[in-house]
Amino acid sequence: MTSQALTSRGFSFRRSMEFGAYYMTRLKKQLIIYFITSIICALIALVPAPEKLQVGLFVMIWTLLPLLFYCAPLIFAKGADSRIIDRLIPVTTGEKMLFFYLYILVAIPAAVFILPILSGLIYTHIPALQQPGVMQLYELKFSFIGILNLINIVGGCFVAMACFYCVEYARHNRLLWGIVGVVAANTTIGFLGAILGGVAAFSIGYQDGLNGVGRDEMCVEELTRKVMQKLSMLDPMSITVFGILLGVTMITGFLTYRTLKKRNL
Amino acid sequence: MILIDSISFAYDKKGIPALKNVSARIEAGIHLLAGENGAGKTTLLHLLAGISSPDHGKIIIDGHRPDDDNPDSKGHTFLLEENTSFPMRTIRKFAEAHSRFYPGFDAGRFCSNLTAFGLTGDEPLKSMSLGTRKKALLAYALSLGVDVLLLDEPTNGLDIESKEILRGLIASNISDDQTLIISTHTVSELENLFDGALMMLGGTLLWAGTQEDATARLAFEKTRSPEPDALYTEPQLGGYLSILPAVEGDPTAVDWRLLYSALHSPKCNLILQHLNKCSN
Repeated sequence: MTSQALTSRGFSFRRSMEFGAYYMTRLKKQLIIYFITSIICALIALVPAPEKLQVGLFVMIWTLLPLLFYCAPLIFAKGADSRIIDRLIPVTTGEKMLFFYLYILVAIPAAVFILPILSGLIYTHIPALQQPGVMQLYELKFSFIGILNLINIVGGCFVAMACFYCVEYARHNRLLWGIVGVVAANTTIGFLGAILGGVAAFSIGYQDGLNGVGRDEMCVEELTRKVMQKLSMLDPMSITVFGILLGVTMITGFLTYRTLKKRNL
Repeated sequence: MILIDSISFAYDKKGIPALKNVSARIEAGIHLLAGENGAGKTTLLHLLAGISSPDHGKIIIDGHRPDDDNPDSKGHTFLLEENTSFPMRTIRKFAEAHSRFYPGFDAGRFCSNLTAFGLTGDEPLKSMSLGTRKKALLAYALSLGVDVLLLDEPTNGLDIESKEILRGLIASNISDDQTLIISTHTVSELENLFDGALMMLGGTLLWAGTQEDATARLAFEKTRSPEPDALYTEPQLGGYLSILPAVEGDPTAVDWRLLYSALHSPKCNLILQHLNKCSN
């Protein structure tokens, strides 16, 4: 009988998935809306349009999609009246965490990012659609390789996890606290990014270019490319920033675990 | 069996404690949890359900701590709070997703409970009135078959007929080895069901005991004139309700509301002296 297995001791993957099934009726709508948004974004990115409009759409799409990912845990702020019922479900905290993180860090990014990334790849292979400005932006986006790519991924996960932590920790105004979590985590990443980018720029001779770079657009692009290349390599600065980011992400995960386990309602 | 051992709890660690040094031993049966607003009833229910942990002391339910991170401990208890809503479109959908965690759930009983309340289970919960939603939730909670069921104000929002149905359902759904604790301000609506009670005042437990404990020491009587030997008397239309020292071999039914009033009156200590003699 299923229920027998569901009350057994120790970690149970099956119980975690049953817990997910219990939640999914509430989350289905979000997944569908996110997926539809991602389809629309992917299609918009392939619309032939003047360069300025395409650049504008690119910026809009790639601002909106990460924001959807970061704010996905706000769905758990809904339905305050059922919080006790949800908390009472006989599932270990580890099993709950597994489901929550699979949803937030795997299902949501898959629904949000896969199609627009594919659409970007298609765009870069159809010359009829291409506009130079947008091509540069895609080139920059897809140049996130090596440790820079890892920093980008871990950074995104950190913001989403910070949002989830705030939603679970708050007793009241959970939605508001979730948004505060997104803003605070994004600001932290912004600082780290600024430090990382700044140090990389200076280390490849930005200071020398102060007189020329500002006036000469080509030099700015070249500098950007060089900065990206430098950041993608395993230099001590990138490793340090990655380490800090990984550390705060793990701390956020631990705090969330503790909150789910012991927070008094 | 529930063992509450000297528990204290405060929501704000620097503020006034919601529960102070509460100890009790609760056997299987249906128990009334009574107290004024802010007495700590809901807090005690949260601690028993394991969704809060005591700052001091411990609670043991059939050998398990309810706040343990262990499905085996958690699966024995269910709490239906007053303002709970179930996060699904219908109660039947909710039961499908939720009951799989509770091995004692009886689908047949759930259906017959719904039928008793005049529901099919497919009515959208959102469009239900407070009372109707309460009926759906109660029908489900009573069919879960958990060892310890905690109901917070179950009769609030129910009409007179539904309260009668609820009495019948409690009597038929709760088996002898289950424990049901009902927190309510309207004792009279479920009065004859209670096997025992926990009486709270300002975060402390004044008294916890069974019907037998109470009737062994106290007699509850209605008289036309005030009884001179009464420990506590309350005027009522056409007479008086009195609590008297029990006469051996002639137990009366417990008037839980009257006992509650007496324990919240200046005669509290006198009544407690008599009750505690019984338990000693």
